[in-house]
Amino acid sequence: MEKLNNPSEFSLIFKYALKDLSRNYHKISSIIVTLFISLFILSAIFTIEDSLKKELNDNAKALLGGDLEIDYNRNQGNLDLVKKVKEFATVSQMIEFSTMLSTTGREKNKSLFTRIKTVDEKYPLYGNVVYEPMGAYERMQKEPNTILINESLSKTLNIKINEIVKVQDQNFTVIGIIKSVPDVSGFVAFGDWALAGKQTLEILKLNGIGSFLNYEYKVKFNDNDKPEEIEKRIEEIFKEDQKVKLRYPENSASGIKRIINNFSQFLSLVSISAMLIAGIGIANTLLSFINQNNMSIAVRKAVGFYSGNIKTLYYLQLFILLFIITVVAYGSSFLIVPIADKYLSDGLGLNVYPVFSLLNFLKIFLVGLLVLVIFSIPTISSIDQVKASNLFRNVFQNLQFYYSKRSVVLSFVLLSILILLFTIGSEQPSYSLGYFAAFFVCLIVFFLLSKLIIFFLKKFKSSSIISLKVSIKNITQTKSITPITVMSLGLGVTLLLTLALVGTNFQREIAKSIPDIAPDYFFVGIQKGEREKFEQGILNMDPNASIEIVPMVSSGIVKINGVDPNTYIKPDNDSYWVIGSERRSSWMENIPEDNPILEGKWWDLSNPDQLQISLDAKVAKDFNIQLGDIFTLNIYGREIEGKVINFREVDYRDLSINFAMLFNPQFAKKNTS
Amino acid sequence: MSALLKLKKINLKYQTGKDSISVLKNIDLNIKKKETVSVVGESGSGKTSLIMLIGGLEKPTSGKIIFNDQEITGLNEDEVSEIRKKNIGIIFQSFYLIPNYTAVENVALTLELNNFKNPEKEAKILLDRFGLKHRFNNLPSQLSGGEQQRVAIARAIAMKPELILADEPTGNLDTENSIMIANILFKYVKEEGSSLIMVTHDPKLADKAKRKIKIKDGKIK
Repeated sequence: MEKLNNPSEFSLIFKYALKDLSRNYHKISSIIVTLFISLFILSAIFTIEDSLKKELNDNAKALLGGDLEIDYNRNQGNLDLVKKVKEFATVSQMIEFSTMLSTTGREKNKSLFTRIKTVDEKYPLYGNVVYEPMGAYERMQKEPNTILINESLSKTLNIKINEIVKVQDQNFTVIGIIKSVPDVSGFVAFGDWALAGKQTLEILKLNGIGSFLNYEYKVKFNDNDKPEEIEKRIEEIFKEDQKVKLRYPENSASGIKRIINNFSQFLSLVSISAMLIAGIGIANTLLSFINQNNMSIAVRKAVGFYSGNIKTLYYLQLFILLFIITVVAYGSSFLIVPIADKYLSDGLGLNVYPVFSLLNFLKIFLVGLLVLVIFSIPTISSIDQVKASNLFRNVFQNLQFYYSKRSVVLSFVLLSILILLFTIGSEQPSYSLGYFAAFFVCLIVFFLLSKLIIFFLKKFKSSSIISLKVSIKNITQTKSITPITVMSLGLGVTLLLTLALVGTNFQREIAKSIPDIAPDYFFVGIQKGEREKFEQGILNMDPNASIEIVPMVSSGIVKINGVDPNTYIKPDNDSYWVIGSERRSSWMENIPEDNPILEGKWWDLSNPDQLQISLDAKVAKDFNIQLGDIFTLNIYGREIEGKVINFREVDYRDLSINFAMLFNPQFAKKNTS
Repeated sequence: MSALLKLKKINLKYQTGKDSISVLKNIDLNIKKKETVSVVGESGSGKTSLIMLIGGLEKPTSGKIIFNDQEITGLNEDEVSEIRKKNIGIIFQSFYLIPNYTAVENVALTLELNNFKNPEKEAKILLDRFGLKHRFNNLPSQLSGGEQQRVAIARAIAMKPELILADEPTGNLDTENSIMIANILFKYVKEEGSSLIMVTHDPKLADKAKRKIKIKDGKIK
């Protein structure tokens, strides 16, 4: 856009921009509708995302379940230290575990893998448990063998209140349905889960499988205490304890926030793609609009308007239009929030409310402005082609997109800003960049396709059908709209097909692939003495059942080659989980069928007193582990050194029983019994 | 009277592929202030090209055009627009009113562009003078040909230009309207002291001008 001479000239142009827009808006209704839909979708994504994040932040303590969380993960933890905290704060203990929950007394009983959370009478420290019928939660705390199940579980297994369900070998009465719990940040928010009283662990005798229980202690500070001081005091208490993780409200719901970020990033990218495709249409409509005004532009030039001022007039019209549309689109997006609220309050127990954010409004306006300007530059630049002298000749040629070096550079800069806007700050910037790269590759492919179509149609000798001849002439003529039409149609169809394919493949993967290769059931925590009974029980139910039973021991990597394992890997590495917490490891005589050895040799039988480790090859690569390296493992509280002697290829996606570390059985049997 | 416009050795050629068409050849022309000039000649002789050059809407291939002692041939498009905005009013054969502006708005456009204080009021006064009081708020599509041309004349003269260029101003009008338009135009030029260069095929209208120039094959005869 060219500079204006003085402010009064600008106000004149602004006045005419308003006048022209108020009289011509119906001629650009397709631009208005396209922009509105695009910006409305973008606004809805931003508004819901923001409302949800605000709700998560506002309810951070409820989501965490306290002012602070002491997470011992798979250990009961140091109860003496927890006791010290109880001296000056309220502590609620909860233990989570996963197990099969089955219906009883039916002709065909059903089972479902269910996450169960046992809570004490202090739960919840913040927020509320929403359930029905009244009094069910209190009954659960007092009466043994009672359980509350969530709506999903109730629907999936068609369980009614007062029905008896089986958890392991114990019967429980379902005394209520939970609508929501406040502390969804650490607990599962979706899927099938249940709440039980703290006595449940004793009833199920689950303390024996220690490593499969997840221990958490939620802490609520006294009202008069200063949170910072109490936090410091608790940190001091646990500073020597390596196994504990202290979590604070600001870190709560990080999983949900990540899901929200990923999902909104995906939707934003889809929406900006739709906007870019729509931009091509906007450019065409605008060109047609300017062509309709060809004579008026020439008259303006004849009476003394500068070409730059006329272009500013059109840019201003678009700017005003965009501002109005952004306000309406952003305002309308607030109407979507109550719909989102209905689903979110059912699923997460969160109530979202529309939150006005100036930043979001400006971001939406900026996105709209960038798209609009990028696609209107070649269109509005075509105004330079209009000559006032045309008025003497009575000839008005159709305008074409006009690309000057300056406008190409400007478009490129604006496009880069648009891409950066969606890339920087997104959950996965590299994915966003990849997405845009793929988008522009598609754009080039469809541009080349359009040239190919024109090339072949030019070769085509049409018959005597006049309409066909004219159609082909229109498609193949110089500066026709064929490339733009092919690109916008092609990109639109590609986007739709991609979304459809993603959805279909996702469903197919879940519905078909996994059941083919995965076991029907996983059972964990079967004690050595119960193994035969368990096997017999399964075979009684299905004599043809194939059962694979592997031994397991909980082990944590304390050192690698005598140094802290954290020096070997960064927390954002894919394999960090191996040292993130204690892992289950196993031992076996023979090489697993689906775990071929890539490097090294299987067990050295001549050295039974040495712990030998077979390591996942990817883990080895990520940690830069060499054969012969020494791991110091914590097994049952003892630190044992083991030597890495081979690397296996492990594909966890096959859902068979896989381990990052396998031990030589001669050593393991001797030291884990 | 001093010279308002000087054309020196003006040539205009159009390039069509490899061929070059010479439209105007070595034109020398002086127009004095307040002078009325009619330009006549056959179709394709170069009449319209001549006033396009004078109005700064085309650039000559060679030669100089001096307007009010300022050479305009070397100026860029915006600088020429500035001169045209303040000093030159143009009347077209096909009226060319902006279709979605009312009669008043069409006239006020040039006044606003020249920073007149009450452009709409001035426009109404002018349109009233041309007998269009009842058509102030009508769109061009609601006006007859004669009325449209009267609005177009009002637009061209609204900012009291020193020079009026008229290209076949009565070419699209019937006899009655032609006479009326010619009378309005010449009356205004006489009253306001503007110069007028008018291209016409109409001998009667051409005779109304003080000087008549005939162009043939791109040359002044």
